[in-house]
Amino acid sequence: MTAKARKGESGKFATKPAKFQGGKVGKDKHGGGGSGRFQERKKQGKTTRGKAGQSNYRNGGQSGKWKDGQTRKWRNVKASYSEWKVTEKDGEMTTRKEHTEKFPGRKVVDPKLLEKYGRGAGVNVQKIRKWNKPMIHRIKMKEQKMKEAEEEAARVELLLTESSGQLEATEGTYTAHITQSDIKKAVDITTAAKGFNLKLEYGPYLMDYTRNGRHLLIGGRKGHLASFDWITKKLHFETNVMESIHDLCFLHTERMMAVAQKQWVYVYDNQGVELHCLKMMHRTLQLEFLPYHFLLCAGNEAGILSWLDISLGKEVIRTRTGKGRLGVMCQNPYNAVLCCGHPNGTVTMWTPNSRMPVASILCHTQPLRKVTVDPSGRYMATAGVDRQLKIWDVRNLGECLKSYYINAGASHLSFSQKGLLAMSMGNVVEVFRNVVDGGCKKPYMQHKGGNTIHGMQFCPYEDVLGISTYNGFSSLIIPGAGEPNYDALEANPYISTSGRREAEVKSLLSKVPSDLITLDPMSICQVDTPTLQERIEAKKTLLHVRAPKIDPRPRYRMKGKSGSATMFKRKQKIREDAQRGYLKTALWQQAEAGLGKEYFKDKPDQEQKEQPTVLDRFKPKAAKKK
Amino acid sequence: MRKKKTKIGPHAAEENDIFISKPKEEDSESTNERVQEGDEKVHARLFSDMSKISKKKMSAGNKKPHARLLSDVSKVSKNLRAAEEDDIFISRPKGEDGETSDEGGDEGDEKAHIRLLNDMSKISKKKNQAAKREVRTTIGTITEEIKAEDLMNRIGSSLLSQTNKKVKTTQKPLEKHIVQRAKRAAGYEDVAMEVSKWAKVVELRREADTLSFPLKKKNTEFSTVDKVEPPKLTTDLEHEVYSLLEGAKLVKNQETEREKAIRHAMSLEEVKERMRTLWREKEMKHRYEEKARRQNQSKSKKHHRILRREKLRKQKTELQELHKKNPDAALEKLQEMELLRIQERMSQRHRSSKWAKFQGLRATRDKEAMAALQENAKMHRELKMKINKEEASDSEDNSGSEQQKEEAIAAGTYDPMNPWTASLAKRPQASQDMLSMEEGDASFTKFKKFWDEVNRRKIEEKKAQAIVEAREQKEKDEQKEEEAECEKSEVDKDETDKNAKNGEDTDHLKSIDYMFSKAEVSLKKKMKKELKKLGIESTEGKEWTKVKKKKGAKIKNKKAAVVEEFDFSCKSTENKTDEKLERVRTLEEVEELGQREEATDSIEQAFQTLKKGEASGKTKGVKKSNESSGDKTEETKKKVEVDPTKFIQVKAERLHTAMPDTMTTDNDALDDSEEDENAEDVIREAFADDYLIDEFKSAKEAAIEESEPKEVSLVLPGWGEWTGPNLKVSARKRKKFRIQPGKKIRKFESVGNVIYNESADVHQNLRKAMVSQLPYQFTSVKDFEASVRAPVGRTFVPEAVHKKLTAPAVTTKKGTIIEPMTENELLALRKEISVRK
Repeated sequence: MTAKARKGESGKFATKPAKFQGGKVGKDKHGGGGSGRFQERKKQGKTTRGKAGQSNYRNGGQSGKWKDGQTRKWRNVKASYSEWKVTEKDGEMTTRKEHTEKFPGRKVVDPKLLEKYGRGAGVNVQKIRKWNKPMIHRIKMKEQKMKEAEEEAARVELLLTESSGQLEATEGTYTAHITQSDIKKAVDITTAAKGFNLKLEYGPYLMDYTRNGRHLLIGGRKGHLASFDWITKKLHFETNVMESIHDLCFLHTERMMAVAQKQWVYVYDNQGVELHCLKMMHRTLQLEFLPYHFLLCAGNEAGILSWLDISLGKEVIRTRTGKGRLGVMCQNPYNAVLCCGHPNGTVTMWTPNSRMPVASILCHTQPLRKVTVDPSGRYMATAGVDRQLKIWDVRNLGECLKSYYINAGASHLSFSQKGLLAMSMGNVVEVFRNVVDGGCKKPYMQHKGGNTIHGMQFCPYEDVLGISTYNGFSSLIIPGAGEPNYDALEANPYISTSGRREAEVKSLLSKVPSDLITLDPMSICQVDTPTLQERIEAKKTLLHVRAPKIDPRPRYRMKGKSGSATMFKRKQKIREDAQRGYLKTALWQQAEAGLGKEYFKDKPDQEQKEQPTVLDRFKPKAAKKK
Repeated sequence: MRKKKTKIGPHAAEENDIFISKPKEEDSESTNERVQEGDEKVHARLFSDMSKISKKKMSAGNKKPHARLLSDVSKVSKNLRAAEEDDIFISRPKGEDGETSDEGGDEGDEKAHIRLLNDMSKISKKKNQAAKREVRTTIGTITEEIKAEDLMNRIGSSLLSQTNKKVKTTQKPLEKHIVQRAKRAAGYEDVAMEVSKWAKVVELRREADTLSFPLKKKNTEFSTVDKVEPPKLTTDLEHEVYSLLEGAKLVKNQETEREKAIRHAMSLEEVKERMRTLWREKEMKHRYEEKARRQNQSKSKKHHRILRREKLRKQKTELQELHKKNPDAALEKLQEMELLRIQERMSQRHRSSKWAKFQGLRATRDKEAMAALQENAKMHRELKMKINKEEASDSEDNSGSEQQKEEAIAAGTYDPMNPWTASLAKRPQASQDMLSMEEGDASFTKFKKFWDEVNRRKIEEKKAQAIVEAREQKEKDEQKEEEAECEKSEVDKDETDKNAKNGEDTDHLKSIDYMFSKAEVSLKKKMKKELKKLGIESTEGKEWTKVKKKKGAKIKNKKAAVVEEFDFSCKSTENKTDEKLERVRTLEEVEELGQREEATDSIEQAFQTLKKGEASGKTKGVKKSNESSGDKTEETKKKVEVDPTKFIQVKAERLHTAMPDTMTTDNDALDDSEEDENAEDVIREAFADDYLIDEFKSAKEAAIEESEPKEVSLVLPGWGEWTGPNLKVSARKRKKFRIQPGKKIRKFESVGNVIYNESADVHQNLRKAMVSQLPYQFTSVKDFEASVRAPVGRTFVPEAVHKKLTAPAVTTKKGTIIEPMTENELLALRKEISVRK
């Protein structure tokens, strides 16, 4: 693709100052108008044929030498694939069998790619007890399998055929100068249809996309609520809730949505029918939904955070943050921790397991306006009143990676799946590339609307940025924003009804308990070292219980009771009694300290005891007793 | 022949002793008895004869006949060897007796004596056994060859048969438990044999990833494409298609037997060549093996020592080369060698150690202990011994060193005070120092490096000096002359010093400190000279700084460079965000985090000590700079930086953003954002930066304090002292009864702008779900965590791998009987193993 742009041989867009290469805007499966893009693909196939791509495929793949050109090859897998077909037609290509004979074994995987899927260092077998040979063998085998898994995962990358597009400016121009109308003119119809404006009346609007990026929910402050498939523009419902709307969000599917209204939070279905009124969440300002935990989180005017398990309808926890109005809130998609921004310049992180914040970071020296975390959960962007934009390393708390001055305080921030950062200031939206690395000074794209922006979000799996303003909604085309390859098991934009049903059940079955929310989600595969140490200490104490030495010299007794044998027995008895007494007290003390017998027993699961079921009679007797 | 005799001699003698010693006393009695029992006539005559002799001999001297008798008998015994038959045995002594009597010269006694002997022989004929024994009793040592069999034959049946009979009696049965034990042992062996043949099978089964029962598999062999016969082509179309396929090389033409044979065939020469190479390989292998065996067998200490030394020398040269190419690698290697040396040193036992003491106690009873002690002593002696440099290789070294010396002189770096060049000078005359070669090999290179550095500096100094001199030459011509004289005298002094010291050095080891002190002295002298040149008279403390000032910045810079070179601390530039953050697990690791900046290599430590020595002598300025840097790191380590501002303030860049238009259209609406902005302005004015930071600081302190375990005081007032409303408990008592909690490790404690609440993050609910006991075979948390680090679910890994990872250990086929293994399994095993290989 890039090669083509450099050569400037695009017949179609030659007159334009810059070309839009719609790698991802349209989709083959969707609509019939993707012909322009298709043609482009074809061209790519031709241009790359007989050049670097070809040589890569034939020789580089097996030679074990990895050049710089290789990386490009991985990006343009599709291109080289098509070339392969073409050459086959030409009859140059040798048969598959010979191919394998020439380079026996499977194709070598790109080490960089392997690194990407790497799982870190394995077990140090040397350290494990030597004499248990089969165990060691087993561990070694497992390590081998892990290696295999990494390699296989890297191989599967081949199936990610789509690549994201981008804007490239010709010399002397900037990509930021390309307007939406330019783009719309350049791209195919389907893609052009993705950029649209809605003029609405009911006051500043808020918006939310579903996780698969297919549906859109908009709500006006004056009570206007509408949900629709924004690609086909099919309206699901439209209603006026007759109350002010402060925030809204989709729940696990597009068929349920939560809306924070003046007093309480309401749940509506796809038809606009009110399903629930959540009175435990009152005067809510911010709503967040944690999809894997089925938790609806709300922050309210009084600074109270509450988590509600929507699969059970139970409130998990409600805590008072004590930091005032919770107007700035976002979730970290990586670990499901809530990040709240406060007027004292701090960002606090909350989990539903504690009434105290897990962490609080002083980010700005002035009140915060917006916080957002990127989809990978690595970076956090904060914008403050001090007209600064800061990028933080979330996992390494408190490490500021970049700090930028901007002309006005940003009111909204949004990370796209591909790492673009959109920032709204008043009526201006700007999209930046490489904010994290600091390679950018100028915006990648810029858009100036007629009104103040009140809501902004990148649409997942699409090159689209949705902004909701005071008087409507507009969808902007931002090439290269969305992830081009979707994981259908995770979020499928083209999901069918039955598929959605199945996914719903599956996701409910694999619901992650809220107990597991923590800063490091991998801590579940870690050892609870404090408890381990406690146990070891306890064991030590148990092992080292030893009765004190006593002098068992009994009283002399008459009448043959002090014969040597009797005396010995008596001594023994005294000794044993003393020891027994001591041990008793020691054990009692241990039990008091909570380190008794029960401590080392595996605690029986409470769930097992629960309610006898009808099927119990089929169980074997032993199991029944339990 | 002689040898043989001597070999046999003692053996035979022993045998005889054994045989003889017993009957010795008995027999003398028994003979007497038998004599009484036997022919009385003869006996009587014998007695009379004897009395006659004794009577006659009384006059000559009592002892003489007795002695003669004895000598006679001994002669008889000497000829025993020849006496193979009974008759001869008897007869021989007769004649010889005659001779001896002749020699004796007592002719009068001859007849009586002969008769006596005859009589005796008669007795002996009848009871030769007794006679023989009697004869033997007097024998001291028998050097002649005697066969035990003959003796046994001569002894006859009576005694031997008796003893034999005794042996033949049935043995006393062994004790029950011993019998049982023996039985058990035998049984164990059998069973062990029986069981051990299953060992491999069991091992394979245990190691198997998955086992699917029943284990027996049907032999299903798939016929591969090669084995399939080519299809019979009947129609034209088939022919055509087939030819096309062949053309595209999709079908492999089958090779006939003949073609195969041709392919494999070799010419005679090829065969010969092949045979030759094979033979050669075999021969070479054999030779190497032989050599290795011989080398292994060699017990010569000297040989091994030579080998070791050669190895060391090789290492040294390698190291030097490596140092030229890659100093870092050389350092590493040096470290390794040092470690080896340390290990060797550790393995040596002290002569007066605890071990030696115990061995000494044991040595009276235990031979092994004695041997060990001796070995230790020997080693001690060897190690203490000065090494002769007779070996050719050593002399080579010397020549090399001489060369080096010459080179050094040529380069102008030769310094007799320098231990390395000095040692070069000394080597030909004095015996080699132990330190320099054997043990101090590692230190050798280190010191050498250091001294090279010093030399380099000297050259630089000289250069600088030369420049200064050039400037002031004209002015200070006169002074120079004086100084030259001074120098001369001082050099003379040096030499005399050196000579004196050389004498000492040959006697004892030259300590490093001593070297340094020497170097220091020399350096000081030089300094003085230089100062004189510059016309500065000052005390020792000031001299260096002043010189530095005079010489200017150039030298200073160079010194800094030197310091950098010697600073081994490796500060790696870390990426801002590590992709995989490692978990801090132990207190040590947390400490490490702090210390990471200061790389504490053993070598660096060694160099620190070196630097100290150096600093005392020459480069005080360098030391100062070094110290200051060290201090800085220490300070940072001690005082944990908790200033939030430091962390907040990252150098901000300016983004080129557009200015938003001021909104006018939505005046009528209740626009929150505008209200917000107004509010924000107010807030901005209200909140000063410092105020927020201070607030955060205090919040952090409070959080830390809260989470810190409190100390407990168990003081009871009134015990051991007065108490009351205005009386305080004594400080001593309070101190005594105070229980201080241990220091808690806290994450992100040193990060100023973060308050981290670990109890909230890793909360109790989560900890319940975490693993709190290491599974059986693991001994370290790290390893266990590594073993569960990767996901196995089908959403994380490809399906095929997921299936592999989650395959059950055992699968059983329904409806089949799982039979126990039979011995056939062993046969199958062989196949399996061969397949594996």
